[in-house]
Amino acid sequence: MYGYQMTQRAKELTEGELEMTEGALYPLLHKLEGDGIITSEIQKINGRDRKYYLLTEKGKRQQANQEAEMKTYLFNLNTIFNI
Amino acid sequence: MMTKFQEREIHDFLRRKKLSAVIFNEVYDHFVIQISELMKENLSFQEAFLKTKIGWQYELEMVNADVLSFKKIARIEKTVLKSRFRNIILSSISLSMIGLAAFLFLNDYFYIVQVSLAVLCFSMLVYNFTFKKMKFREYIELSFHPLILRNLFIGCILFLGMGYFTQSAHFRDFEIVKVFSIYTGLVQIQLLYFRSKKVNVLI
Repeated sequence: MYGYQMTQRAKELTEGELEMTEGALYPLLHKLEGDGIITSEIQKINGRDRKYYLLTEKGKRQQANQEAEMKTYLFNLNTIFNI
Repeated sequence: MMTKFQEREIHDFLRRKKLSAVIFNEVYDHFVIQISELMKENLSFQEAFLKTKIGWQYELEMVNADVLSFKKIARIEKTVLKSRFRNIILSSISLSMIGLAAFLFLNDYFYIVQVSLAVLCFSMLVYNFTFKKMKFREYIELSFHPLILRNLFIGCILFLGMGYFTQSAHFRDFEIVKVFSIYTGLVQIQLLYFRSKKVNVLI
């Protein structure tokens, strides 16, 4: 996925609830790339360089861990509020 | 559909923001898609361009690159560079701490490390010039890099402070001074390394 696509996908999945600040996204992507969480490849599209980002193996592991953590957190929160 | 002239207008606007090549290409591509999408919603190019510029106003605002620099760069560039510098500083501190642990047991080790770092630094400089990874102008910019200037400033305070408080002529032999000199060497090597990889570290 490339930057613009990510912002649109987030908007689409959350039905417009989550609107990412486009400019804040790129520094974050560069940081994740520097940390080895994601990797990138450049493709020429309509004469322009487009940078696609992909999760690395390390990134996939981290995603799984954080997803599990978030699920536990939401489950606990739900339990508390449903008391 | 955007015309070549309109694409040129976006290009020229972003060129004025003095972004590094990597960030420029990404932001330019983003601008072109975002404006094209807005134009599909029956907005004229100028309206779409203005709306996009407003959305990016904060990130593209020109700000001071560093306290020790007069250069103005876009905020987005500054954020990326700050994060890169943080990594350089943290890895240099970690390695210096390992060095400190070693100095406590092996006294002569310091001079070996110091000479090795100087050789490594010189080799990287030669490599960068030989393989045209760095221009002379960039070398000058690197010599006055805020990270190096800051280290120089801290080093001066450290040297003067140690000399004043210990009243010893051998204050250079204190562990803290040794560790700091290793740290500054590591920062310089990393800056040269990033330059050789064509990763922007210049401000």
